[in-house]
Amino acid sequence: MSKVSIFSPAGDYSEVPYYSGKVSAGFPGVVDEHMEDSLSLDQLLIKNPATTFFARVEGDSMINAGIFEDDILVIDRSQHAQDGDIVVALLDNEFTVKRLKTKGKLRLQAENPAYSDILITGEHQLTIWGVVTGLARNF
Amino acid sequence: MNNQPEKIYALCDVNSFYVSCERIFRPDLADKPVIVLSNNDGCIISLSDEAKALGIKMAVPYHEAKSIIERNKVITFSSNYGLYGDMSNRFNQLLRQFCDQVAPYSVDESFMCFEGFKEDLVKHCQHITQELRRTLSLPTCIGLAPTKTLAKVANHYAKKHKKSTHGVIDLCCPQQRQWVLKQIPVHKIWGIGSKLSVKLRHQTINTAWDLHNADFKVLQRMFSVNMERTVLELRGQPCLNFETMPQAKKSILNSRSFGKAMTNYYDLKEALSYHATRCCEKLRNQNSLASAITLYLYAKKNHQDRNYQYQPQITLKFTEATDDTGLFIQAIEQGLQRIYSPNIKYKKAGVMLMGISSSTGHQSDLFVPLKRRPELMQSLDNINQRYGKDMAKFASLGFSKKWAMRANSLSAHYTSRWNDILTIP
Repeated sequence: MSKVSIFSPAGDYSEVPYYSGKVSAGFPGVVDEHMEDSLSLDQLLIKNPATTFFARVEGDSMINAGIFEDDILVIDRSQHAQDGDIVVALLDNEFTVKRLKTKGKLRLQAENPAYSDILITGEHQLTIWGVVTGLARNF
Repeated sequence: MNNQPEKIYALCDVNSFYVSCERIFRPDLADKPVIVLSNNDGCIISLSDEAKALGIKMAVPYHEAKSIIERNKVITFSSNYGLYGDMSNRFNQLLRQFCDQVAPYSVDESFMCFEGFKEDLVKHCQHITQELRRTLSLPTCIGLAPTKTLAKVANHYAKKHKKSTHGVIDLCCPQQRQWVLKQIPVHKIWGIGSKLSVKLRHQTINTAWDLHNADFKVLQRMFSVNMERTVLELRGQPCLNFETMPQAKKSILNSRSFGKAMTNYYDLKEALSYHATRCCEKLRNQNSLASAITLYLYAKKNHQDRNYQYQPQITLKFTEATDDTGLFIQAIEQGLQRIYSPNIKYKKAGVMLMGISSSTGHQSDLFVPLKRRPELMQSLDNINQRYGKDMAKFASLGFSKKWAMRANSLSAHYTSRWNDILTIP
Protein backbone atom coordinates (compact mmCIF):
# COMPACT_ATOMS: atom_id res chain seq x y z
CA MET A 1 0.00 0.00 0.00
CA SER A 2 1.49 3.31 -1.03
CA LYS A 3 0.31 6.74 -0.02
CA VAL A 4 1.53 10.10 -1.19
CA SER A 5 0.84 13.28 0.64
CA ILE A 6 2.12 16.81 0.47
CA PHE A 7 4.23 17.96 3.33
CA SER A 8 5.31 21.49 3.93
CA PRO A 9 7.65 22.05 6.78
CA ALA A 10 5.82 23.92 9.50
CA GLY A 11 6.91 24.99 12.91
CA ASP A 12 9.79 27.08 14.11
CA TYR A 13 12.09 26.79 11.14
CA SER A 14 9.86 28.31 8.53
CA GLU A 15 9.05 31.28 10.70
CA VAL A 16 12.66 32.25 11.26
CA PRO A 17 14.17 33.36 7.99
CA TYR A 18 17.73 32.20 7.71
CA TYR A 19 20.17 34.17 5.64
CA SER A 20 23.43 32.67 4.52
CA GLY A 21 24.68 35.67 2.56
CA LYS A 22 28.10 37.05 3.43
CA VAL A 23 28.31 40.28 5.39
CA SER A 24 31.17 42.51 4.28
CA ALA A 25 32.89 45.08 6.42
CA GLY A 26 36.22 46.86 6.19
CA PHE A 27 38.50 46.12 3.26
CA PRO A 28 37.48 42.76 1.86
CA GLY A 29 39.87 40.61 -0.03
CA VAL A 30 43.19 41.75 1.40
CA VAL A 31 43.40 38.94 3.89
CA ASP A 32 41.68 36.39 1.63
CA GLU A 33 44.31 36.81 -1.06
CA HIS A 34 47.08 36.02 1.36
CA MET A 35 45.44 33.03 3.01
CA GLU A 36 47.59 29.97 3.41
CA ASP A 37 46.62 26.56 4.71
CA SER A 38 47.19 26.08 8.45
CA LEU A 39 49.98 23.76 9.44
CA SER A 40 48.84 20.18 9.69
CA LEU A 41 50.52 17.32 11.51
CA ASP A 42 49.17 14.93 8.90
CA GLN A 43 51.17 16.77 6.29
CA LEU A 44 54.28 16.59 8.46
CA LEU A 45 54.01 12.92 9.37
CA ILE A 46 52.33 11.32 6.36
CA LYS A 47 53.95 11.24 2.95
CA ASN A 48 51.76 8.64 1.34
CA PRO A 49 48.27 8.56 2.93
CA ALA A 50 47.05 5.55 0.90
CA THR A 51 49.67 3.25 2.39
CA THR A 52 50.09 4.79 5.85
CA PHE A 53 48.68 3.05 8.93
CA PHE A 54 48.84 3.74 12.66
CA ALA A 55 49.56 1.33 15.49
CA ARG A 56 49.99 1.63 19.23
CA VAL A 57 53.20 0.46 20.92
CA GLU A 58 53.05 -2.18 23.61
CA GLY A 59 56.05 -2.83 25.84
CA ASP A 60 59.49 -1.28 26.27
CA SER A 61 61.69 -3.00 23.68
CA MET A 62 62.33 0.24 21.74
CA ILE A 63 62.80 2.79 24.54
CA ASN A 64 66.36 3.73 23.51
CA ALA A 65 65.03 4.79 20.13
CA GLY A 66 62.60 7.09 21.98
CA ILE A 67 59.63 4.81 21.38
CA PHE A 68 57.62 4.21 24.53
CA GLU A 69 54.58 2.22 25.53
CA ASP A 70 51.32 3.68 24.11
CA ASP A 71 53.12 5.82 21.52
CA ILE A 72 51.48 5.84 18.12
CA LEU A 73 53.61 4.60 15.26
CA VAL A 74 53.20 6.08 11.80
CA ILE A 75 53.88 3.23 9.41
CA ASP A 76 54.37 3.77 5.69
CA ARG A 77 53.99 0.47 3.89
CA SER A 78 55.13 1.85 0.53
CA GLN A 79 58.71 2.47 1.74
CA HIS A 80 61.31 -0.19 1.06
CA ALA A 81 63.09 -1.03 4.29
CA GLN A 82 66.83 -0.39 4.47
CA ASP A 83 69.46 -1.46 6.94
CA GLY A 84 68.94 0.51 10.17
CA ASP A 85 65.28 1.40 9.58
CA ILE A 86 62.77 0.91 12.35
CA VAL A 87 60.22 -1.47 10.90
CA VAL A 88 57.00 -3.21 11.70
CA ALA A 89 57.71 -6.80 10.81
CA LEU A 90 55.71 -9.98 10.71
CA LEU A 91 57.80 -12.62 12.41
CA ASP A 92 56.10 -15.99 12.00
CA ASN A 93 52.81 -14.17 11.44
CA GLU A 94 53.11 -11.99 14.55
CA PHE A 95 53.59 -8.25 14.56
CA THR A 96 56.68 -6.73 16.13
CA VAL A 97 58.42 -3.35 15.99
CA LYS A 98 62.24 -3.50 15.86
CA ARG A 99 65.26 -2.07 14.08
CA LEU A 100 66.12 -3.99 10.92
CA LYS A 101 69.74 -4.99 10.41
CA THR A 102 70.65 -6.39 7.02
CA LYS A 103 74.43 -5.89 7.08
CA GLY A 104 76.12 -8.92 8.52
CA LYS A 105 73.59 -11.42 9.78
CA LEU A 106 69.95 -10.55 9.08
CA ARG A 107 68.40 -9.65 12.41
CA LEU A 108 65.81 -7.63 14.27
CA GLN A 109 67.33 -5.50 16.97
CA ALA A 110 65.55 -4.18 20.04
CA GLU A 111 66.50 -0.74 21.38
CA ASN A 112 66.73 -1.91 24.97
CA PRO A 113 69.72 -3.85 26.37
CA ALA A 114 67.31 -6.13 28.23
CA TYR A 115 66.31 -7.71 24.91
CA SER A 116 68.67 -9.71 22.71
CA ASP A 117 68.70 -9.54 18.91
CA ILE A 118 66.43 -11.87 17.00
CA LEU A 119 68.54 -13.65 14.41
CA ILE A 120 66.56 -14.53 11.33
CA THR A 121 67.33 -18.08 10.37
CA GLY A 122 65.76 -20.46 7.92
CA GLU A 123 63.27 -21.52 10.58
CA HIS A 124 61.79 -18.03 10.78
CA GLN A 125 59.38 -16.48 8.38
CA LEU A 126 60.03 -12.75 8.17
CA THR A 127 57.98 -10.21 6.23
CA ILE A 128 58.55 -6.48 6.47
CA TRP A 129 55.05 -5.07 6.92
CA GLY A 130 56.05 -1.40 6.82
CA VAL A 131 58.64 1.19 7.75
CA VAL A 132 58.07 3.35 10.83
CA THR A 133 58.38 6.91 9.51
CA GLY A 134 57.05 8.88 12.45
CA LEU A 135 55.73 8.86 15.96
CA ALA A 136 52.90 10.62 17.76
CA ARG A 137 52.42 10.99 21.50
CA ASN A 138 49.92 12.69 23.76
CA PHE A 139 51.08 13.80 27.18
CA MET B 1 52.45 -5.86 -37.49
CA ASN B 2 51.60 -4.16 -34.25
CA ASN B 3 47.93 -4.78 -33.49
CA GLN B 4 48.05 -3.25 -30.02
CA PRO B 5 45.05 -0.91 -29.70
CA GLU B 6 45.71 2.72 -28.73
CA LYS B 7 43.43 2.53 -25.67
CA ILE B 8 43.60 -0.46 -23.37
CA TYR B 9 41.18 -1.06 -20.53
CA ALA B 10 42.11 -2.89 -17.36
CA LEU B 11 39.82 -4.22 -14.68
CA CYS B 12 41.49 -4.68 -11.32
CA ASP B 13 39.57 -6.40 -8.56
CA VAL B 14 40.39 -7.61 -5.10
CA ASN B 15 40.02 -11.34 -4.46
CA SER B 16 37.59 -12.11 -1.60
CA PHE B 17 37.65 -8.41 -0.73
CA TYR B 18 35.98 -8.43 2.71
CA VAL B 19 37.96 -11.46 3.86
CA SER B 20 41.16 -9.88 2.55
CA CYS B 21 40.42 -6.70 4.54
CA GLU B 22 39.90 -8.75 7.70
CA ARG B 23 43.23 -10.49 7.14
CA ILE B 24 45.29 -7.29 6.87
CA PHE B 25 45.47 -6.84 10.64
CA ARG B 26 45.16 -10.54 11.43
CA PRO B 27 48.11 -12.15 9.63
CA ASP B 28 47.50 -15.29 11.69
CA LEU B 29 44.45 -15.92 9.47
CA ALA B 30 46.51 -16.11 6.27
CA ASP B 31 45.91 -19.80 5.48
CA LYS B 32 42.77 -20.37 7.53
CA PRO B 33 39.20 -20.63 6.27
CA VAL B 34 37.54 -17.23 6.83
CA ILE B 35 34.07 -15.92 5.98
CA VAL B 36 32.27 -12.58 6.33
CA LEU B 37 28.53 -12.31 6.98
CA SER B 38 26.13 -9.71 5.60
CA ASN B 39 24.21 -7.12 7.63
CA ASN B 40 22.57 -8.61 10.69
CA ASP B 41 24.80 -11.68 10.32
CA GLY B 42 22.37 -13.05 7.73
CA CYS B 43 24.22 -14.51 4.73
CA ILE B 44 27.75 -15.42 3.75
CA ILE B 45 29.03 -12.63 1.50
CA SER B 46 32.75 -13.24 1.29
CA LEU B 47 34.80 -16.44 1.53
CA SER B 48 38.49 -17.24 1.51
CA ASP B 49 39.69 -19.95 -0.88
CA GLU B 50 40.09 -22.28 2.12
CA ALA B 51 36.43 -21.76 3.04
CA LYS B 52 35.35 -22.39 -0.57
CA ALA B 53 37.36 -25.63 -0.55
CA LEU B 54 35.21 -26.84 2.37
CA GLY B 55 32.18 -26.53 0.11
CA ILE B 56 30.78 -23.37 1.69
CA LYS B 57 28.94 -21.30 -0.88
CA MET B 58 28.47 -17.59 -1.48
CA ALA B 59 25.14 -15.95 -0.45
CA VAL B 60 23.99 -18.91 1.64
CA PRO B 61 22.22 -18.05 4.93
CA TYR B 62 24.59 -18.44 7.86
CA HIS B 63 22.34 -20.87 9.75
CA GLU B 64 22.30 -23.26 6.76
CA ALA B 65 26.09 -23.52 6.73
CA LYS B 66 26.46 -23.38 10.51
CA SER B 67 27.37 -27.02 11.00
CA ILE B 68 30.19 -27.04 8.39
CA ILE B 69 31.43 -23.73 9.81
CA GLU B 70 31.57 -24.99 13.37
CA ARG B 71 32.96 -28.40 12.49
CA ASN B 72 35.84 -26.88 10.53
CA LYS B 73 36.46 -23.94 12.88
CA VAL B 74 35.87 -21.46 10.07
CA ILE B 75 36.66 -17.96 11.34
CA THR B 76 33.55 -15.82 10.99
CA PHE B 77 33.26 -12.02 10.89
CA SER B 78 30.30 -9.66 10.86
CA SER B 79 30.67 -7.07 8.13
CA ASN B 80 32.83 -4.09 9.11
CA TYR B 81 31.86 -1.59 6.41
CA GLY B 82 33.96 1.18 7.95
CA LEU B 83 37.09 -0.87 7.38
CA TYR B 84 36.08 -2.05 3.90
CA GLY B 85 35.24 1.49 2.79
CA ASP B 86 38.59 2.79 4.00
CA MET B 87 40.50 0.01 2.25
CA SER B 88 38.50 0.59 -0.92
CA ASN B 89 39.59 4.25 -0.92
CA ARG B 90 43.20 3.28 -0.39
CA PHE B 91 42.95 0.72 -3.21
CA ASN B 92 41.79 3.41 -5.65
CA GLN B 93 44.36 5.94 -4.43
CA LEU B 94 47.08 3.40 -5.09
CA LEU B 95 45.76 2.58 -8.58
CA ARG B 96 45.89 6.32 -9.38
CA GLN B 97 49.62 6.23 -8.68
CA PHE B 98 50.01 3.78 -11.57
CA CYS B 99 47.39 5.03 -14.01
CA ASP B 100 45.97 8.52 -14.53
CA GLN B 101 42.51 7.29 -15.58
CA VAL B 102 40.85 5.24 -12.86
CA ALA B 103 37.09 4.64 -12.66
CA PRO B 104 35.91 2.86 -9.50
CA TYR B 105 33.15 0.43 -10.46
CA SER B 106 32.28 -1.11 -7.12
CA VAL B 107 33.75 -1.31 -3.64
CA ASP B 108 36.35 -3.87 -4.75
CA GLU B 109 36.85 -3.33 -8.47
CA SER B 110 38.00 -0.46 -10.64
CA PHE B 111 38.57 0.10 -14.32
CA MET B 112 41.73 1.73 -15.56
CA CYS B 113 42.35 3.11 -19.03
CA PHE B 114 45.84 3.20 -20.50
CA GLU B 115 46.29 5.42 -23.55
CA GLY B 116 49.35 5.21 -25.77
CA PHE B 117 51.22 3.14 -23.17
CA LYS B 118 54.58 2.30 -24.72
CA GLU B 119 56.03 -0.22 -22.28
CA ASP B 120 55.00 -3.78 -21.52
CA LEU B 121 51.53 -3.36 -20.02
CA VAL B 122 51.35 -6.89 -18.62
CA LYS B 123 54.56 -6.27 -16.71
CA HIS B 124 53.22 -2.92 -15.47
CA CYS B 125 50.03 -4.59 -14.21
CA GLN B 126 51.99 -7.38 -12.54
CA HIS B 127 53.88 -4.63 -10.73
CA ILE B 128 50.53 -3.08 -9.68
CA THR B 129 49.28 -6.36 -8.21
CA GLN B 130 52.59 -6.86 -6.38
CA GLU B 131 52.45 -3.36 -4.93
CA LEU B 132 48.82 -3.78 -3.84
CA ARG B 133 49.83 -6.91 -2.01
CA ARG B 134 52.99 -5.43 -0.48
CA THR B 135 51.62 -2.07 0.64
CA LEU B 136 47.95 -2.87 1.39
CA SER B 137 48.00 -6.68 1.76
CA LEU B 138 45.31 -6.89 -0.92
CA PRO B 139 45.44 -9.82 -3.37
CA THR B 140 44.21 -8.69 -6.79
CA CYS B 141 43.75 -9.83 -10.39
CA ILE B 142 43.89 -7.63 -13.49
CA GLY B 143 42.32 -8.28 -16.89
CA LEU B 144 43.53 -6.26 -19.90
CA ALA B 145 41.60 -5.85 -23.13
CA PRO B 146 40.56 -3.33 -25.80
CA THR B 147 37.04 -2.98 -24.27
CA LYS B 148 35.57 -2.88 -20.78
CA THR B 149 33.42 -5.99 -21.34
CA LEU B 150 36.49 -7.96 -22.47
CA ALA B 151 38.50 -6.59 -19.54
CA LYS B 152 35.80 -8.04 -17.25
CA VAL B 153 36.07 -11.40 -19.03
CA ALA B 154 39.86 -11.29 -18.76
CA ASN B 155 39.68 -10.51 -15.05
CA HIS B 156 37.28 -13.39 -14.48
CA TYR B 157 39.68 -15.74 -16.31
CA ALA B 158 42.72 -14.48 -14.40
CA LYS B 159 40.90 -15.08 -11.12
CA LYS B 160 39.92 -18.63 -12.07
CA HIS B 161 43.47 -19.41 -13.24
CA LYS B 162 45.62 -17.54 -10.73
CA LYS B 163 48.47 -20.04 -11.03
CA SER B 164 48.93 -19.98 -14.80
CA THR B 165 48.22 -16.25 -15.24
CA HIS B 166 49.91 -14.94 -12.07
CA GLY B 167 46.84 -12.75 -11.68
CA VAL B 168 47.24 -10.79 -14.95
CA ILE B 169 46.03 -11.63 -18.44
CA ASP B 170 45.96 -9.59 -21.65
CA LEU B 171 43.21 -10.30 -24.20
CA CYS B 172 44.37 -7.78 -26.81
CA CYS B 173 45.70 -10.60 -28.99
CA PRO B 174 42.80 -12.16 -31.01
CA GLN B 175 44.09 -15.75 -30.71
CA GLN B 176 44.36 -15.52 -26.96
CA ARG B 177 40.90 -13.90 -26.84
CA GLN B 178 39.29 -16.72 -28.84
CA TRP B 179 40.87 -19.33 -26.58
CA VAL B 180 39.51 -17.63 -23.46
CA LEU B 181 36.04 -16.71 -24.79
CA LYS B 182 35.42 -20.36 -25.70
CA GLN B 183 35.84 -21.30 -22.04
CA ILE B 184 33.56 -18.63 -20.57
CA PRO B 185 29.88 -19.57 -20.16
CA VAL B 186 27.58 -16.86 -21.50
CA HIS B 187 26.04 -15.99 -18.11
CA LYS B 188 29.45 -14.90 -16.83
CA ILE B 189 29.59 -12.01 -19.30
CA TRP B 190 29.08 -8.54 -17.86
CA GLY B 191 25.45 -7.47 -18.31
CA ILE B 192 24.16 -10.95 -19.18
CA GLY B 193 22.24 -12.18 -16.18
CA SER B 194 20.88 -15.66 -15.62
CA LYS B 195 17.54 -14.61 -17.17
CA LEU B 196 19.09 -13.42 -20.42
CA SER B 197 21.42 -16.39 -20.58
CA VAL B 198 18.46 -18.78 -20.58
CA LYS B 199 17.03 -16.99 -23.62
CA LEU B 200 20.45 -16.98 -25.29
CA ARG B 201 20.83 -20.70 -24.72
CA HIS B 202 17.58 -21.18 -26.67
CA GLN B 203 19.45 -19.56 -29.57
CA THR B 204 22.28 -22.11 -28.96
CA ILE B 205 24.48 -19.35 -27.62
CA ASN B 206 26.25 -21.04 -24.73
CA THR B 207 29.69 -19.50 -24.47
CA ALA B 208 31.13 -16.02 -24.74
CA TRP B 209 32.61 -17.12 -28.09
CA ASP B 210 29.11 -18.07 -29.39
CA LEU B 211 27.87 -14.60 -28.45
CA HIS B 212 30.94 -13.02 -30.06
CA ASN B 213 29.99 -14.75 -33.34
CA ALA B 214 26.26 -14.07 -33.15
CA ASP B 215 24.45 -11.75 -35.56
CA PHE B 216 24.10 -8.64 -33.42
CA LYS B 217 21.39 -7.13 -35.61
CA VAL B 218 19.18 -10.15 -34.95
CA LEU B 219 19.99 -10.07 -31.24
CA GLN B 220 19.30 -6.36 -31.05
CA ARG B 221 15.77 -6.95 -32.36
CA MET B 222 15.22 -9.81 -29.93
CA PHE B 223 16.72 -8.13 -26.90
CA SER B 224 17.90 -4.53 -26.80
CA VAL B 225 20.60 -2.21 -27.96
CA ASN B 226 22.59 -3.23 -24.88
CA MET B 227 22.94 -6.75 -26.29
CA GLU B 228 24.30 -5.32 -29.55
CA ARG B 229 26.84 -3.31 -27.54
CA THR B 230 27.89 -6.39 -25.61
CA VAL B 231 28.52 -8.33 -28.86
CA LEU B 232 30.53 -5.45 -30.32
CA GLU B 233 32.51 -5.09 -27.11
CA LEU B 234 33.31 -8.82 -27.19
CA ARG B 235 34.65 -8.26 -30.72
CA GLY B 236 36.96 -5.55 -29.42
CA GLN B 237 35.00 -2.44 -30.41
CA PRO B 238 34.58 -0.15 -27.39
CA CYS B 239 30.96 1.01 -26.94
CA LEU B 240 30.86 1.86 -23.23
CA ASN B 241 31.87 5.19 -21.74
CA PHE B 242 34.70 5.51 -19.31
CA GLU B 243 33.48 7.56 -16.35
CA THR B 244 36.19 8.53 -13.92
CA MET B 245 33.78 10.69 -11.93
CA PRO B 246 30.89 8.90 -10.23
CA GLN B 247 27.52 10.28 -11.37
CA ALA B 248 25.52 12.10 -8.71
CA LYS B 249 22.87 9.67 -7.50
CA LYS B 250 19.25 10.28 -8.56
CA SER B 251 17.88 8.84 -5.33
CA ILE B 252 19.55 8.09 -2.04
CA LEU B 253 18.54 5.12 0.05
CA ASN B 254 19.43 3.85 3.48
CA SER B 255 17.77 0.88 5.14
CA ARG B 256 18.55 -1.93 7.53
CA SER B 257 16.95 -4.95 9.05
CA PHE B 258 16.47 -4.75 12.80
CA GLY B 259 18.44 -6.95 15.17
CA LYS B 260 15.11 -8.03 16.64
CA ALA B 261 11.54 -7.15 15.67
CA MET B 262 10.36 -3.68 16.77
CA THR B 263 6.83 -2.60 17.68
CA ASN B 264 7.37 0.66 19.56
CA TYR B 265 6.69 3.95 17.74
CA TYR B 266 9.69 5.73 19.30
CA ASP B 267 12.10 2.92 18.40
CA LEU B 268 10.93 3.11 14.80
CA LYS B 269 11.29 6.89 14.81
CA GLU B 270 14.85 6.51 16.06
CA ALA B 271 15.73 4.02 13.34
CA LEU B 272 14.18 6.15 10.59
CA SER B 273 15.92 9.27 11.92
CA TYR B 274 19.21 7.41 11.79
CA HIS B 275 18.63 6.45 8.14
CA ALA B 276 17.60 10.01 7.26
CA THR B 277 20.80 11.30 8.88
CA ARG B 278 22.94 8.94 6.78
CA CYS B 279 21.02 9.85 3.60
CA CYS B 280 21.45 13.58 4.27
CA GLU B 281 25.20 13.12 4.75
CA LYS B 282 25.41 11.39 1.37
CA LEU B 283 23.21 14.13 -0.11
CA ARG B 284 25.46 16.94 1.14
CA ASN B 285 28.54 15.00 0.20
CA GLN B 286 27.50 15.05 -3.45
CA ASN B 287 26.37 18.72 -3.17
CA SER B 288 22.73 17.92 -3.81
CA LEU B 289 19.34 18.84 -2.43
CA ALA B 290 16.26 16.61 -2.19
CA SER B 291 12.63 17.61 -2.44
CA ALA B 292 10.92 14.45 -1.18
CA ILE B 293 11.40 11.68 1.33
CA THR B 294 9.85 8.23 1.38
CA LEU B 295 9.78 6.24 4.58
CA TYR B 296 8.91 2.62 4.62
CA LEU B 297 8.52 -0.14 7.14
CA TYR B 298 8.49 -3.83 6.56
CA ALA B 299 6.81 -6.49 8.64
CA LYS B 300 7.11 -10.06 7.53
CA LYS B 301 5.01 -12.85 8.88
CA ASN B 302 2.13 -11.88 11.06
CA HIS B 303 1.21 -14.52 13.62
CA GLN B 304 -2.33 -14.97 12.26
CA ASP B 305 -1.33 -15.38 8.64
CA ARG B 306 2.15 -16.69 7.96
CA ASN B 307 2.40 -15.35 4.43
CA TYR B 308 1.11 -11.92 5.19
CA GLN B 309 3.50 -9.15 4.28
CA TYR B 310 2.93 -5.65 5.50
CA GLN B 311 4.88 -2.84 3.87
CA PRO B 312 3.44 0.54 4.74
CA GLN B 313 5.16 3.51 3.13
CA ILE B 314 4.57 7.20 2.67
CA THR B 315 6.14 9.91 0.55
CA LEU B 316 6.34 13.46 1.79
CA LYS B 317 7.17 16.35 -0.50
CA PHE B 318 8.80 19.60 0.47
CA THR B 319 7.79 22.93 -0.98
CA GLU B 320 11.46 23.63 -1.57
CA ALA B 321 14.42 21.28 -1.99
CA THR B 322 16.69 21.03 1.04
CA ASP B 323 19.64 19.18 2.56
CA ASP B 324 18.76 19.99 6.17
CA THR B 325 18.68 16.85 8.33
CA GLY B 326 16.34 18.58 10.80
CA LEU B 327 13.64 19.05 8.18
CA PHE B 328 13.79 15.42 7.10
CA ILE B 329 13.49 14.32 10.71
CA GLN B 330 10.40 16.53 11.12
CA ALA B 331 8.97 14.91 8.01
CA ILE B 332 9.62 11.48 9.47
CA GLU B 333 7.56 12.32 12.55
CA GLN B 334 4.65 13.48 10.43
CA GLY B 335 4.90 10.50 8.10
CA LEU B 336 5.38 7.84 10.72
CA GLN B 337 2.30 9.03 12.63
CA ARG B 338 0.24 8.29 9.53
CA ILE B 339 1.62 4.86 8.65
CA TYR B 340 2.36 3.45 12.09
CA SER B 341 0.07 0.85 13.51
CA PRO B 342 0.75 -0.70 16.90
CA ASN B 343 1.01 -4.43 17.60
CA ILE B 344 2.91 -5.18 14.42
CA LYS B 345 6.36 -6.66 14.59
CA TYR B 346 8.42 -4.60 12.18
CA LYS B 347 11.57 -6.22 10.79
CA LYS B 348 13.05 -3.43 8.74
CA ALA B 349 12.87 0.32 8.15
CA GLY B 350 14.27 2.54 5.46
CA VAL B 351 14.39 6.02 4.06
CA MET B 352 14.74 7.20 0.49
CA LEU B 353 15.41 10.76 -0.65
CA MET B 354 14.14 11.74 -4.09
CA GLY B 355 13.82 14.74 -6.36
CA ILE B 356 17.56 15.20 -6.19
CA SER B 357 19.02 18.38 -7.65
CA SER B 358 22.34 20.14 -7.47
CA SER B 359 22.76 22.57 -4.57
CA THR B 360 25.24 24.72 -6.47
CA GLY B 361 22.89 25.95 -9.16
CA HIS B 362 19.95 26.13 -6.79
CA GLN B 363 17.79 29.26 -7.03
CA SER B 364 15.88 29.91 -3.87
CA ASP B 365 12.55 31.66 -3.91
CA LEU B 366 12.95 35.21 -2.65
CA PHE B 367 9.58 35.21 -0.98
CA VAL B 368 9.87 31.89 0.82
CA PRO B 369 12.05 31.85 3.90
CA LEU B 370 15.13 29.72 3.21
CA LYS B 371 14.56 26.19 4.42
CA ARG B 372 18.17 25.29 4.72
CA ARG B 373 20.81 25.96 7.29
CA PRO B 374 23.97 25.28 5.31
CA GLU B 375 26.36 26.56 8.00
CA LEU B 376 24.77 24.40 10.68
CA MET B 377 24.89 21.33 8.43
CA GLN B 378 28.48 22.09 7.48
CA SER B 379 29.50 22.31 11.15
CA LEU B 380 27.66 19.08 11.89
CA ASP B 381 29.47 17.28 9.07
CA ASN B 382 32.83 18.74 10.14
CA ILE B 383 32.41 17.65 13.76
CA ASN B 384 31.38 14.14 12.76
CA GLN B 385 34.16 13.75 10.24
CA ARG B 386 36.66 14.84 12.81
CA TYR B 387 35.46 13.18 15.98
CA GLY B 388 33.52 10.20 14.67
CA LYS B 389 30.10 9.26 13.41
CA ASP B 390 27.18 10.84 15.27
CA MET B 391 29.31 12.72 17.82
CA ALA B 392 26.96 15.60 17.07
CA LYS B 393 23.45 14.58 16.09
CA PHE B 394 19.78 15.37 16.31
CA ALA B 395 18.19 14.12 19.52
CA SER B 396 15.60 12.13 17.53
CA LEU B 397 18.30 9.58 16.81
CA GLY B 398 18.08 8.64 20.46
CA PHE B 399 20.75 6.92 22.45
CA SER B 400 19.44 3.38 22.86
CA LYS B 401 19.85 1.98 19.34
CA LYS B 402 17.54 -0.88 20.30
CA TRP B 403 17.01 -1.52 16.63
CA ALA B 404 20.71 -2.05 15.89
CA MET B 405 21.71 -5.06 13.88
CA ARG B 406 23.26 -8.21 15.12
CA ALA B 407 26.99 -7.99 14.54
CA ASN B 408 28.29 -10.54 16.96
CA SER B 409 31.69 -11.03 15.38
CA LEU B 410 32.63 -7.51 14.37
CA SER B 411 36.36 -6.87 13.99
CA ALA B 412 38.07 -3.70 15.22
CA HIS B 413 37.84 -0.40 13.33
CA TYR B 414 41.59 -0.55 12.75
CA THR B 415 41.71 2.46 10.44
CA SER B 416 38.95 4.69 11.75
CA ARG B 417 38.97 4.67 15.59
CA TRP B 418 41.95 5.51 17.77
CA ASN B 419 40.89 3.02 20.41
CA ASP B 420 40.81 0.26 17.82
CA ILE B 421 44.19 0.62 16.12
CA LEU B 422 46.61 -2.27 16.03
CA THR B 423 48.90 -2.77 19.04
CA ILE B 424 52.42 -3.92 18.33
CA PRO B 425 54.83 -5.34 20.89
